[in-house]
Amino acid sequence: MTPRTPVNKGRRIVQQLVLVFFLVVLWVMLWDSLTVLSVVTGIILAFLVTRVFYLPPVVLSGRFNILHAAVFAGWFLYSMVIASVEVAWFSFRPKAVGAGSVIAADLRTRSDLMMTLVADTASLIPGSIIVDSDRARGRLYLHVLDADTDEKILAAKKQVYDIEGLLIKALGSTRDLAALKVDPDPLAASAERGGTR
Amino acid sequence: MVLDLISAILILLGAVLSLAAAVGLLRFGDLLSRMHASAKPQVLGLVLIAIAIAIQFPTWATVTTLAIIVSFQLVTIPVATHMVGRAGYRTKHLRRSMLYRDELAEAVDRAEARETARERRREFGTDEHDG
Amino acid sequence: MNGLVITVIIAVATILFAASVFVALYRVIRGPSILDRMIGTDVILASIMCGLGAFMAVTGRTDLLPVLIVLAMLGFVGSVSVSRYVSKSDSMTPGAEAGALSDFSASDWHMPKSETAATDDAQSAREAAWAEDVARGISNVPDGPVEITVRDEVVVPDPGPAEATTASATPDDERGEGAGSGPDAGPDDGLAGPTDEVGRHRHDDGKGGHDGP
Repeated sequence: MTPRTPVNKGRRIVQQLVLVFFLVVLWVMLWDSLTVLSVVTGIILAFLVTRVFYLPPVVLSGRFNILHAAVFAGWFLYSMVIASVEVAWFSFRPKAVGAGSVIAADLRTRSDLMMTLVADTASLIPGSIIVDSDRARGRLYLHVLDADTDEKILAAKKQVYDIEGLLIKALGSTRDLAALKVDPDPLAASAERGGTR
Repeated sequence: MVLDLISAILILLGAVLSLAAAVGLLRFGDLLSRMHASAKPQVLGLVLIAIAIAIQFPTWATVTTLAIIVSFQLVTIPVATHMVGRAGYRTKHLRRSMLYRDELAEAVDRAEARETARERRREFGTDEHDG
Repeated sequence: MNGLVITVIIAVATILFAASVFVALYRVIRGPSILDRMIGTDVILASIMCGLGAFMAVTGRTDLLPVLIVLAMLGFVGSVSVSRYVSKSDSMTPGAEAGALSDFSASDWHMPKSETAATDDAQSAREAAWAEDVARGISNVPDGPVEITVRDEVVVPDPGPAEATTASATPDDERGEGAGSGPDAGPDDGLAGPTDEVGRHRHDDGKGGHDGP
């Protein structure tokens, strides 16, 4: 294995600086004033906060594709509108909502950040709630709202995989990209294997 | 003014979505389904009302604060619903009837069967050694 | 004319906000479990936030924006703390987690228990929860449900959520990668997990004793 200490140390400092930068931006936005005083106090407080409430640094992949991120943002907003209107329609229509299901989605990525982002997004978009997750196997368990037929279950799984694909293309590391290339369509693969996994 | 009218319509839509969230909370039969109703329309309602406020006060200060509020809600609502959902799923009272298919329970059963089989194998191994 | 239309729209919106608060209040009162009440409270809070935002837009004052931030934070913290109370799995050690489910009596839920014996329920809940954790690779219970004594053992009170999270955070931190966590040493009878599982396996063999060669 390559010596990890120098790479890790440099990487950690960069990540701490990124965190401090975002905290300073948040502080300045809360105070609604971009003066020297607010920036300086922001930097001091950000350092204090990151020292006192020490969190393990989130491992960024160091890759950010603007185009795919913009596509993801646009698609996210559009889908959020559709999903909210759909849930509102379910609450108002006279017919009761169908039974839900808890489905499992085997993600192709193994990194924590990607799994968290997929889980966050899947909570907001296609009408699903993350019930549990199996981090070792990269598996998310979601509860989907109106899923009383197999087609709807497959559609929900497809949507989760779509989210994951878009996120990997926007933010994923090279390993995730390779995993995406190996397995671009998990539903078709599992259908070949037989059964509705 | 047109802007005031647009703001008013956005506020009305936000109110309709809030009511949809509450009515969904009332009508859905299962804890997990009710959480869908509580999470999704509320986020969109908040976004619409934030846009209405931003239309009325198009200054940088207000817009950035609204952006903070909306992004905070976007990040925390899924986390809160996940924690409530996980807590609700694990207590066996609440997941009884309204699930068409439950793949988490299947995984749990599989793991359980694997473990009892492993335990049994260990027992038999013990017997062989003692004998 | 324009003013009248806007006034009517705002009045209808106000009525809808009030109605949503009352409907959610019904769920808070009626909800068969504490979690139902929690999400009812969350909906009330979010409706109040939206109503406050509408108030700001209508009366033209922005000094109430920090109130929205505080309300959002309160809602989040409330939801998370109630759910952590309900499923004590996050705050207890994984080995004792299975006992947490059976600690719950029916009075906490106000739902009729359809299963006959409380012990059956406790037993199945224990095994299911333990098996879940084994499947997820976080359980450090070396053997089967025999190891878990629910009524007899003294349940260690929660040392604090910070400790629990940092305890679980450090092994992940050590793995510290740049390109994805990567598959660990393969699933092994459903006990795949981070490297500290290996230590536990070794502990398991020493403790289990009479394994085969």
